[in-house]
Amino acid sequence: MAEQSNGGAVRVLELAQEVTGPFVGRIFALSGADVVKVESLPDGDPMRAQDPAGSGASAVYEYLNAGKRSVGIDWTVADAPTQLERLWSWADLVVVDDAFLAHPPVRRLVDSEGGPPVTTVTPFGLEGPYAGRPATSSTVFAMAGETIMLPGGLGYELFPDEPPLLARGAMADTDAASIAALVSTAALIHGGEGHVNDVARWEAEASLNRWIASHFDDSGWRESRATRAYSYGGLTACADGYVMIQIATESQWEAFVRMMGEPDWARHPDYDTQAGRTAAGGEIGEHIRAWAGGLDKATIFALGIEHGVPVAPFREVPEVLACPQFNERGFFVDHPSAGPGQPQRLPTLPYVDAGTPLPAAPGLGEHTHALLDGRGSAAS
Amino acid sequence: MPDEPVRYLAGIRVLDFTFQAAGAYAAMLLGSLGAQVIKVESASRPDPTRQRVNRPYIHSVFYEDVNLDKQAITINMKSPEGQELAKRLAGASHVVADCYRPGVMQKWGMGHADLRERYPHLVTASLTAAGQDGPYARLPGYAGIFNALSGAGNLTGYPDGPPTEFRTSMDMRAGALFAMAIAQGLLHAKRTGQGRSIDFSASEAGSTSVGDSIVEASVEGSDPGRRGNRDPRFAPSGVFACRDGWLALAVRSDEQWRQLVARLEQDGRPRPEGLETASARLADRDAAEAYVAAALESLDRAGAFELLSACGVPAGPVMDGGDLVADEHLAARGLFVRTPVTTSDTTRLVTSAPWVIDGRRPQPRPAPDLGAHTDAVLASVLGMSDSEIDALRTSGALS
Repeated sequence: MAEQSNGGAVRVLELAQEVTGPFVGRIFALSGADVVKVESLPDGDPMRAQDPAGSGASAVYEYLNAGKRSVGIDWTVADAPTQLERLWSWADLVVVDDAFLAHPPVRRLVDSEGGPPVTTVTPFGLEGPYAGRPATSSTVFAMAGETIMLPGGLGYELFPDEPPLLARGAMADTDAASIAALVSTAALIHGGEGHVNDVARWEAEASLNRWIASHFDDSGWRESRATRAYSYGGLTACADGYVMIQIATESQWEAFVRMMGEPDWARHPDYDTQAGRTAAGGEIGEHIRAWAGGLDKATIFALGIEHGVPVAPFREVPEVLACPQFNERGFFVDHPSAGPGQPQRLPTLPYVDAGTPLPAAPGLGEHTHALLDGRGSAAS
Repeated sequence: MPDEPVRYLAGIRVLDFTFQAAGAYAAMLLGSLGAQVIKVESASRPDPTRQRVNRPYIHSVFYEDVNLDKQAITINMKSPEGQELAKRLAGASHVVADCYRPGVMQKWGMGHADLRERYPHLVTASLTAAGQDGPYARLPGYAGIFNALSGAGNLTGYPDGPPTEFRTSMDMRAGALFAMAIAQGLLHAKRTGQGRSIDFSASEAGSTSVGDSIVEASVEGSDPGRRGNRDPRFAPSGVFACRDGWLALAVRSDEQWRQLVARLEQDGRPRPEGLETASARLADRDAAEAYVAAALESLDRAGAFELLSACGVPAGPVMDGGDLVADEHLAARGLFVRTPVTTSDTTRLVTSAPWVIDGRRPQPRPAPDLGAHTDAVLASVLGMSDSEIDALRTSGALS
């Protein structure tokens, strides 16, 4: 748990909505920080109204904001800048997104000297020709170099004329939160006042695909979904779904052959080296598909673990939620107030000892009085 | 941006036993923040990415992409002297990070428990496919494996197509989260004086990247299936053809739609009837998307991006590596820079750190040659003399 030496938790002020900024706050909340989330009145974080299940409750809001306190600010009232300044002076760290930067009192404090470190999370950064342009997680993902490569392999074989693919959901926004939380944490380790960390969601996502830029510069190569395929293996259909087969070393190939029961075709002398197997990828792939087609995902995966071969089932969400490995490690925790329209289980962070069980997400402005009007310990 | 920004992790030392993509990216991010990252390899087991030689250089392009801002030393971890040397370096560090399969670091007496017992201040951090313990602990893993297990691959794809292979990016996603986890461990150590053991699962990192989708689906209790590029909340949304490629967009509000229609009307495109509200567009999204598709097909991506942005509509051209390198915005912000290639007189384009601090972006130092800093590190970190280093070399501990 991230605690101050005097026993107090790290204090994070979250001036952000939807996914990226709230996910930064979520990382800190799961690490033991006291996270105060400011929501603009009258409606609060638009994520509250997002209703994927048609139930009237927002499961994703609950997921992103569990364990935080909520303060509502009405930016039209004269007292709003003073309220903001009180919260700002309370914080060890401030996280601000583009929606909140649009409020002049917020922008003034970001631009001011001194104060806690500030991390801004915006689509394109604070400066540059595209600064201020709108974006979604999907449009950022598209610009960052991965959409043009999706789907490769079997997906492209089957659908060469369809548009390239976007990632599901808020992947790029979540990815940017990792970078923003990293640089924010580093700023807290360093200490000192007045630093502004400008994290552009586009750059964070493009950084994941950095190799396509350097390869282009090096050779002029433009990787695309038409060129993105394993020579053999990869996404492979089996009896009840799909598995991933990713053989990278000689010893893994040997183990894979044993795992398949030492078929005669695998002992072809041309397949003795990775180069030979790559050259014969088409025919090897045929053999692998024939073998996998007669087995189910669970059987192939169990064989892979037994033989130390990198194979894995493509899991559907219920299978992910039931994963014995994830659950043994405590990756999912029970939702503190699960009810109709709410998820029963929530992911934590992908490392053991990371997850602090969190109470439910706050009601809109639930803690305004405690933090701003009364004698709440945080702002006093 | 000529000046270097503040180096937040100056004074932090990371003993780095990672290799390949995920762990190496994590360690590099810490180096970009100012930490001293000491990459440990051996002559018989260098980072495999060094050997992806696709050009007449010793360094592969990929190696340089994820090993900037590091020093490199060689230690023969098969020798007792090498293992003891590594432990001394660990004691002089703040972080020991690795991405070996469970058991390898333990075999050298450098598992989490071993190191933390000897050096309670240490943050020990391991990245594996599925974690140090549990039924999948033996699973070897690469990005494709993390992707499959995480659920991310199954959630993305055409409605009637197979799952999607996310590849290198899944390594890098895990790496970014791994670096964040290490930083949280360092913050904890700074505030409490006690280190931390971080047992990181790259498969869980993949699930984290689609956490919102997993939560959505878990409400309904069944797998939602793949849905292509359409966002069920917004119409029109998806990927559309332009004259020179593809472009993604999502109209998120009635005001954005109104502005877009008004703008296209100026160009002579007839106003579509009955699509003014979000519910109407969702009910007849084929019509809304056909209207947008017809407008975009005669525009190039840059023009469409500008037009849509001016209307407040979130949009983005689908870009490849060449597009990214040529982009004016990224150039203005200095995301890509050139670093020298140590073994030739050429330079190479690399991607800088994905953040700007106080208006300045860190300038990366080139990826190191194998063992380039062995002597310097042993002298500066452990205070070893030349004769002591020579003795170690003679014993085979530095090969």
